[in-house]
Amino acid sequence: MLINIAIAIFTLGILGAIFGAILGYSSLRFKVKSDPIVEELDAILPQTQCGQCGYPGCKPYAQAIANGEDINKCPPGGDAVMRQLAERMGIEPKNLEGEEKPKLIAFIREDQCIGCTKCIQACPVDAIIGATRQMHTVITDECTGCALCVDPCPTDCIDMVPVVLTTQNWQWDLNLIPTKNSTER
Amino acid sequence: MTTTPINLLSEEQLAEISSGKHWSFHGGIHPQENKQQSSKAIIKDAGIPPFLVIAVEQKGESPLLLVNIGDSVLKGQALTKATDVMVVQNASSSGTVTAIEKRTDLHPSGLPVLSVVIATDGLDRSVEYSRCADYKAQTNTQLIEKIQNAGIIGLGGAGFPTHLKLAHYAAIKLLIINAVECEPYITADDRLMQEHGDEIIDGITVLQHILKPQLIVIAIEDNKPDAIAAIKRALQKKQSSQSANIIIRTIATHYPSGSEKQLIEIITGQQTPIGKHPSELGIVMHNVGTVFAIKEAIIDGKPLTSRIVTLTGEAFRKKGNVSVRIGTPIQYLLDKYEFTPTASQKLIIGGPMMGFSITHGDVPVTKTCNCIVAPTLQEMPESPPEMPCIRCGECAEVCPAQLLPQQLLWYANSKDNSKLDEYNLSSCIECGACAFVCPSHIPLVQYYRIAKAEISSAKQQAEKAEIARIRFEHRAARLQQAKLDRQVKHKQAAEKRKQQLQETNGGEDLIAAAIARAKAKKQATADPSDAPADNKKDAVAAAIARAKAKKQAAAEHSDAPADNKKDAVAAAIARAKAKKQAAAEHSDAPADNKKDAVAAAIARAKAKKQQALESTQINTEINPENSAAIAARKARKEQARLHKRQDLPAQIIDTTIAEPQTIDTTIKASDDKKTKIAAAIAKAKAKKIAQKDQ
Repeated sequence: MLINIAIAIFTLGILGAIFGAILGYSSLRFKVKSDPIVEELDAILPQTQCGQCGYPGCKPYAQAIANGEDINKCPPGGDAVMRQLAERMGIEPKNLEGEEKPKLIAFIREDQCIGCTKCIQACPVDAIIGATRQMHTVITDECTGCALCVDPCPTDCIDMVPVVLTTQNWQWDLNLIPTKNSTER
Repeated sequence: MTTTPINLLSEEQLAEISSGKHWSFHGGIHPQENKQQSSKAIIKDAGIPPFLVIAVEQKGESPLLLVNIGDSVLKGQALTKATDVMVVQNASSSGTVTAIEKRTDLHPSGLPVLSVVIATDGLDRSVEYSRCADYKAQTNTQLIEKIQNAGIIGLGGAGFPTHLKLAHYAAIKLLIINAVECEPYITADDRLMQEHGDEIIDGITVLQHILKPQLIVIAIEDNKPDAIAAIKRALQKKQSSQSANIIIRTIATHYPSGSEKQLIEIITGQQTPIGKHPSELGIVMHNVGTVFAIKEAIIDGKPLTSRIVTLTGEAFRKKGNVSVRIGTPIQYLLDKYEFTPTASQKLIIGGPMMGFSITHGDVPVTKTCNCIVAPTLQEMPESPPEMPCIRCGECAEVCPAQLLPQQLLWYANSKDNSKLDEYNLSSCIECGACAFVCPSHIPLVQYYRIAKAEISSAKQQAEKAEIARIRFEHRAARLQQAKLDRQVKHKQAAEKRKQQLQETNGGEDLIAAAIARAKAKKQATADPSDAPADNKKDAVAAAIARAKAKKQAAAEHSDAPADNKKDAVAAAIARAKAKKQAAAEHSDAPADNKKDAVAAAIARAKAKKQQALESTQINTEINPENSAAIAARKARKEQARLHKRQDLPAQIIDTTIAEPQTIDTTIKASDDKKTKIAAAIAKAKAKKIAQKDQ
């Protein structure tokens, strides 16, 4: 009788030790360092790093959304991004806060640039090149259109200009007003 | 494009192909061909237009230009430098470069691209072409470079650079020459084969030398019997050991059999997997026009400066195929071949199935422009209005890529890119068969084109966003690192300073010593019961006591001298006072005079000020708060009213002169009083004047 109890306790004890070891190992081996949802949300965001959401970049906003922040604070992403965020978070889409604007990129009027480097410091993606008292210019391909460089400029020589339409980024548009006159027949 | 062969054709398959077996592809349509309009006339030279517009931009990239404005160029001269993917653009006639600027390109968007404009001189002088009889002595690399320098791109329509297609010559088992020309209306390849069969066979031999395929298939649709006959003749002429593995395959007329993947399926029975390139199956395909251009480039040394363009459609009076210099304005062709626009005239570049329309002729002919269709409305009626999809499934039956066009339409309209991807929109060859059979007249291909463009731009944006994210993260990391570095630096500098200080003071910490001293001092003042403080106090007390004692002693001992002293001081003071008094008395008159003068001056100034103030108040009537002013004004007004016709100015002057004197007397009175008095005087004067007048 006593021996049976001892065996049972011993067996369960061994089992407990084994499972504990497995769990302990797997908790170390398969440790999730950061919340994967933040990465996913960050991937949805447009990475303009413009700060219009009130956070210093897209990743902090992704983190904030994961913590329950509103999903409608990204004007550069527009409605499409908001909907994707809503879908990912499993919540209802909301109306976008702020206006959805066409994509712009910064352009430095180079004859007015005094080379103060303030815009270079403001650029979140290092898309402006130049040096002290040397003319600065925007790397068009890298510019996200966040407009963070516009305000610091002491000579107001930075304009936000629309992206130049080329045969490469041109889109078919069926909604153009038809120029054909149907009464001509 | 990867080079790893995944599913090379086996020997059995090749044997099967050469035995004459052929397959078919899913779907397809049989549109009205309309090839007879242009297939009968021989190819004519379109002539030299007054100017040429040669677009040099390729896929949005501007190459390095080798000419400047004002340069004279010869036919065949390179205008641009070749890069990895870009081919050379050559001048297509001799003349002078008049502009290098953005000009409207032959593209559905009608957007301008960087172009070289050449004003032709009509002489058509060309650079010296170096004929190369024995190209077989040259390496593949040399030959491919020659083809790149000749500016050859796929002339069938897509315009893929030929040198890139030839670059993977290692594992090619089957070379297919695409002479299918399945689009309605177009007969450029048909005429080319009829007239230049020998050259085409020569071109094929060049490709055979480069690619060394086991089998070459020339695929021609059975609606071109003359072309088939011409190629057969040419091939028989060339009959040698090399041409033994060249076969001509006549295929049934079936749109879109000329599409690369569909033709591969017809010839080999193999479907090219999604996302794979035919070269991975060991197959490469070249258009027959490209083969002709390769022959000219390699054997004759001539770069690609012209191409054959079919001018067709009932709106052209003179139809047919013409050899057009690249860059010729379409308007020039329209004028020369008597284009007579009708109502709702359309101008289609390419075939009616896959082409696009242009709105004006001020665009140049490019290397991929194989046909200009100008149909009348009878020929090609307007498409009826679009109706809703009834899900009949006819589009799915004709789709050569075996897609589900009705589903794609649904997802394209809802912009569901992930679903479009799931339904393999990227495999759509935009052949237009689905739109052709649609009973609801839905322009399905247009929707797919839009969706494809949107997907590709979304992809581009995602790529850019990823780059932006990486750049942002790198920047954040850099800034963080800089901050840490700065902190470390500051810390190190502080430590160094401390150490230096210690060293200069012989190992003694001055600051610590100073702090200790200050502390000690504080301690000392805070604690009055300390011994030194007591000593001090005692000393002070003793000193006071001593002083008191001394004083006492002095008072007692020398009373008189002290009194004397006091008296002396008192006397001195009295003297001083007396002196002052005397001085005051002595200089009473001058001082008084002076004082009076000063007082008078002050009084005058005050009076003047007052007068000025009052006169302004009176004259301008700006200070209604001042009762005096109001009164004065009233008086003045009254006076003015009474003496409208008499010598008024003199009287006014009179009063203004009189006033200061009056005020002078009252100047020492209070200001309020003064103004009141002034007002009263003014009033009185006015009254007086009024009485006098009466």
